[in-house]
Amino acid sequence: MNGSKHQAHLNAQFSAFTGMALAAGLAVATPAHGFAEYLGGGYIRMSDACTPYGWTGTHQVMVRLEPQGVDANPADITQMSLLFGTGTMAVRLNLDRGIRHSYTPTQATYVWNGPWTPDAPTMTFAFSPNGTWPLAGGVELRGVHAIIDNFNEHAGCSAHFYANLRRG
Amino acid sequence: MTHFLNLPVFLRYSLQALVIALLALATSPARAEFMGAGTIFGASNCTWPTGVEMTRARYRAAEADGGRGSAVTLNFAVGGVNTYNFYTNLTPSRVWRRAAGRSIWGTFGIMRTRPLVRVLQRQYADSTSAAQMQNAPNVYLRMRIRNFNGEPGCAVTVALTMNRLN
Repeated sequence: MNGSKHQAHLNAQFSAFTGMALAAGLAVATPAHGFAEYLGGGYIRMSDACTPYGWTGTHQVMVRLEPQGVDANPADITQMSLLFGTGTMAVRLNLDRGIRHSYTPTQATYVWNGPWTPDAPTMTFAFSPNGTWPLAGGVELRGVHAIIDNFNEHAGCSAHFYANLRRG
Repeated sequence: MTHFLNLPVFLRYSLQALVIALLALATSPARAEFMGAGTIFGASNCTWPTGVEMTRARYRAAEADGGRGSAVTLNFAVGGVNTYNFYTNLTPSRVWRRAAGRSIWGTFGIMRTRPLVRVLQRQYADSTSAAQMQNAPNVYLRMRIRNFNGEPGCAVTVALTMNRLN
């Protein structure tokens, strides 16, 4: 987004803001033209059933979402990454049955130490009808709300996920 | 009497008191602190950001926190921190509230041009009802910030989804 000439100009004009100028260079990770990508974040609140697995309380989470069927995105693949402060979960889902359905990812990769991609993920996403459907389209997803069961492949561990996103 | 007017000494002691107070804050959980994440977008006249940014966030609500004022801290995905302190509640209003702003990128900085903040929405995370901050379990906070990130004239919109800490 910023050519090097432009960047140099910014650095000269705002020498007090070198950190910001660097951030401007870092922030550019946009999808190919025509694809729809949403960026945002929110939190995940763990249920008591997650405590034995070491997950408790509230966790900040940043979210990247590529919803299926929006613009040039594939019709049957939704991609979503949950960026925690300490690791990442990335899933592919096929949200082809509406909001009142519980979805198991077709693929899930968990990155804590190494990458782990189970052959048959057990984690599920059930999106709340009170929240914003991830495939709603438009410029903003005001409040995506999902109940995630078997969070991080932990049997019985349920978590509430809330996020707002904006189209990048 | 005169030694109380010795400004350097006075400052040193009051700073010590401040540091002790901050340590106490760090060790006991705040009573009305919310934490989560969200987006920054709608930038105008900004060096940064230029597009949509992800950010982590914390929010201390004055209503339920003993009158110490409100505070919003943004911890950007790309690194860097902004914190905005208000004497007031963050009730949605057309008013531009004055904030004390501080930032950390390469180093700690005080925003010399005062940030002005208009609170656009403060609702529950999954509804459009106004959040009652005394007991809200979660909050969606949407604000327009002028003089964002210490850059005079730069304005952005911030939308945050956060959960109450207990």
